[in-house]
Amino acid sequence: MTPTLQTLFFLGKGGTGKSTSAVLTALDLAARGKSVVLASFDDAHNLSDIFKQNLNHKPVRVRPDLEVLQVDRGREIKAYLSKTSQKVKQSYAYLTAFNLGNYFDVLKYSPGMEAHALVSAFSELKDRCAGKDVLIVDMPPTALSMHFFNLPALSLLWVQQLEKLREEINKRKKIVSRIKFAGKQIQRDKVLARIREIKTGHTVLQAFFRKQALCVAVHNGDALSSAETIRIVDELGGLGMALTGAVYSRRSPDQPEETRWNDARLDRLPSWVLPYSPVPLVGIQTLDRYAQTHGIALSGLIPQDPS
Amino acid sequence: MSLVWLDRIRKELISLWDTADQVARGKAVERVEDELEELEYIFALLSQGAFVGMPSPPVQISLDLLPAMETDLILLMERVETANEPLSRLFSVFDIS
Repeated sequence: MTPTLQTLFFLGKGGTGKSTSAVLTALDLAARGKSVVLASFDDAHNLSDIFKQNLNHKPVRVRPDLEVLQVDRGREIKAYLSKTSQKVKQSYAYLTAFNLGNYFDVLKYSPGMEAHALVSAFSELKDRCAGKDVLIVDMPPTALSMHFFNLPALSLLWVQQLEKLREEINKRKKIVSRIKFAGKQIQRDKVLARIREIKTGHTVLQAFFRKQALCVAVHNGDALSSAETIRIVDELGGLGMALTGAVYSRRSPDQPEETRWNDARLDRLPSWVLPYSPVPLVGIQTLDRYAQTHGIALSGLIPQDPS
Repeated sequence: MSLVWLDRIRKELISLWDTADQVARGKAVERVEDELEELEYIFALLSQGAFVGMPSPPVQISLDLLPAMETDLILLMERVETANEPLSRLFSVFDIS
């Protein structure tokens, strides 16, 4: 039987240690025999620095059970626009009234394209990971991450209204056809069919985010990253999602060993602490040594399979 | 001879009936067709409004629908051209001269 893919998202303020936490989790899971794919959606390319090699969209095997890749948003946007532009060229006889080519050139800067590129890359990646045990996503800073999780819900709001309107149009087309053309069959509405495809895709993704996504917030215990973590909990709550764990990454030896949130949602959350490291956590061996020395087992972020 | 006349009158009557039927059907759906065109325009405006400077849905929805919306876009562009004469269009819909 194909194992169910578990998906773990690392969220948090920029620079808190999302990538380090994601890599430590991936290494721990791989060491326990899980087949893991670790993908960075963050343009900061931290994974390339940690693994000391230039990563791109093609997965690189860094351990027998661990593949790593870097999603390139610019490349995703370009590929999506080029595919749509090709479809338009194939289906339009009319292209002279306005210059769609220029329109597509400008669209890559359109607000929302980045979140869409990530959603599209994620959906593709999830399909590609069928047969693997765990997909770990190192997310970009909070604002873009929230746009990413919000995209299916926002799109569904629009798509549902467009679907209703299109159904009204088709109802009237049928009336006209019945009276004028003795009920001659009207052509299948390609637009309505496409709207329903989009709706299904977003409904599936929204359900996945709500029921299956495991979200972990990484913070440093300081005022700013803590405030952002609380904001992440609020934002996710608005989308019907919740954090499943928190990682406290200590940036200096003077910081307390534990944090108290005074927020019930965070205080009862399973938490892990990454102790302060005087050496930069770069390279697999350094990370393995660090995890071993401090007895860190971030594989615990994945709930245990009851079977 | 009278049979030929009768047949001609019958044919004339049938043709008259067909014409009247077509006119009645045309009149009956004129308003529905106007309403249909208006709805199609609203749909095009909602889904592809970015082309004419209107707020639009998340850009990927517009783009995903774009390949199937050639006729809607033509309608949208036509409407933009006549947008400065909304009253004349309304008068023509209601046959006011």
